[in-house]
Amino acid sequence: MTKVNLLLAALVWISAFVLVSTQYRVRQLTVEINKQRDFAYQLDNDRTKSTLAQSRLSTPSRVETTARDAIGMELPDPQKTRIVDLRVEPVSTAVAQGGRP
Amino acid sequence: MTRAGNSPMIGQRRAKPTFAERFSGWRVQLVVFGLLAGFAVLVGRGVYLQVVQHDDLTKRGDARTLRDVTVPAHRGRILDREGAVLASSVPARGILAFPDQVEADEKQIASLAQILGQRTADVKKKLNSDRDVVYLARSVSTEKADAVKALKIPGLSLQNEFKREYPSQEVMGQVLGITNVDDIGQEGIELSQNEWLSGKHGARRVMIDRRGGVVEEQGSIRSPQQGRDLQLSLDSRVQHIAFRELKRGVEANRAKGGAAVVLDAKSGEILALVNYPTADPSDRSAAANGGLRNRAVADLFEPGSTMKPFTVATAIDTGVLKASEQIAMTGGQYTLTGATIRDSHSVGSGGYASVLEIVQKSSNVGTARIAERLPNELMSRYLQRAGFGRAPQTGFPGEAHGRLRAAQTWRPIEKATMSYGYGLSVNLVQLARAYTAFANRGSLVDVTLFKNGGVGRQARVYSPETTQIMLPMLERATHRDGTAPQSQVAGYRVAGKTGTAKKLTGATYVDGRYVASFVGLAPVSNPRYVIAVMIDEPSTGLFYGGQVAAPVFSQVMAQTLRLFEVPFDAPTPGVPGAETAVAAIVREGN
Repeated sequence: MTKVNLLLAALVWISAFVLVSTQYRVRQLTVEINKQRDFAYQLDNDRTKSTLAQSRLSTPSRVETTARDAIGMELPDPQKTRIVDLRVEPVSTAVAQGGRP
Repeated sequence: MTRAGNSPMIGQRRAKPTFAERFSGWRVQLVVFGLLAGFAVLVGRGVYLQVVQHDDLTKRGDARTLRDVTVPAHRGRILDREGAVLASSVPARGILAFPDQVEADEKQIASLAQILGQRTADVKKKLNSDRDVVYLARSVSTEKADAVKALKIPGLSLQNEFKREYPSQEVMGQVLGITNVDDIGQEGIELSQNEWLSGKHGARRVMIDRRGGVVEEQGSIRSPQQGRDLQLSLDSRVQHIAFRELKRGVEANRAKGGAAVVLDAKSGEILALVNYPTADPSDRSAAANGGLRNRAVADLFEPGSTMKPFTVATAIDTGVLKASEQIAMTGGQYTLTGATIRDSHSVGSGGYASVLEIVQKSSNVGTARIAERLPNELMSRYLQRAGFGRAPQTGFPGEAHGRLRAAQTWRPIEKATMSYGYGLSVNLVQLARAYTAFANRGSLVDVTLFKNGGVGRQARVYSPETTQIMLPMLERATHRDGTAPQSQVAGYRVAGKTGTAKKLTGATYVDGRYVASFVGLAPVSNPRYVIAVMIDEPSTGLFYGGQVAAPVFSQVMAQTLRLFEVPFDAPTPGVPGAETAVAAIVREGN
């Protein structure tokens, strides 16, 4: 009987120790989870800001302004625009017109 | 003397007292009673606390150790058809002050005011408020909030918020609208699609320690629902082109304002919807002054001559008019029930004009005479089929329906004036939508602000044969001898119609105040885009749609066609062989 009591007492002691230890570990991990959660939130925010910055920098109006002011590009005047046909003429036609194949 | 009879014998052991003997003394009984009473009190107290006050005590305990933490959910983004971000919410902070608890010296208050971009006196006023809590600022950047936090002023608190950013600024302003400081849509797409875009904050319960740090998760109360992204049909590049050219047109003509719409003629998707003047939605003060009013869908105007093609098409479609007919022009004026309709210029020759000439040169008299042949109900039914008198249902809030009176109430002169665009009203999107019937072999396409995968619902208005007759007439209107040669686009065949309507002020039409418009489509061989342009009150002396709105149309159409690499369908003057090349391209199925 005494041996059983001692065994039970030991189990209670071990259980209490494990409980306290686990509780401590849980709290440590909770703190870590919260840190990581904040970090993930921060990364998500950074991604949002970066995407937004990218959109802001690539708006057509900014691209056009930069192209005009920085490298002197300008929209072609329709009056000065020539539309040319770049397709290759068939060989037979060229030969028929006196050219060489 | 001895008492031998009763006294124990010397050396005899005394008997052990019994339990009753031991506790029979009154002192002992008192102590035992006291102990039992005390124990009873403790048990009673225990029962009281555990049973009677259990819920209350649990609450008080939880209040000290448990906290419900908000899990923020952001509002969805608005994207253009190519996925470019048009609106997005970024984290921001609200700066709260509890005036009773604030302890700050002059230097700290000055620094605070500087960070928040406010006057020191204003900040002081808020800090001296009688209220329990006041907002010093809302939607400030996280960087500024961190700077405020670094001041370590007791009584200040930061609140998590979101701020809406619009990279395209004023170019998209009137379409996108705005949100308020709580990130709730107030105008434009932000308002109409608020349900879709809104996120729902979640919450979780945590246990905190003495210093407020989270030491244990108690579980989720509700999961956050992030707002959903919304993809529009708008193309940022076309929107930019349309905005730039409209702005140029409005400024060059010193007009009061203007609007333009670019539609995909096949799908009905709105590729661009611009207004000028406009406002940057990031600037809430500009928005509050009506700067974000979307005139293209919210404002009505009398369309003027842009209505004439619908009158002529109705007459041809119903068989009351043949395209080859000659219409008597009665000397360029026509009197009907006491009112005289006039043309501003001579149309036709020998007192007659062909139907083509009437459209090409925009004759009021000719159109009115054609309308005369149409029964009221029939004309009204066709106009309704073409979308007049009902909102375009683009998904934009506050769409104007336009005015189209019941056919039974039309007097002859009213029908005549309606045939050339007076006495009824439209918004610009409605007008552009109506022209999709000419671009789609007689079928009207439902317009939308949302990407629909290139398929729009269509409804038949005219027969394909009628539109085949109408398109060359509209094309001729853009030629040198038409009303809008400035609408031409090099390399492409363009069809369209000008409109110049006097503005109604009170009950009278006032000289000098016009709405100039142009609606057109291209390429005529296979129409891809419909563009409508409206310029309100040009004031340089030029006021005809062909002079004021057509050049804007030409620029926007040219750049849009080039952007989407639409093959040419017209010969280009001055380029040897181009005519042959274009003919070949057209034969290839364009």
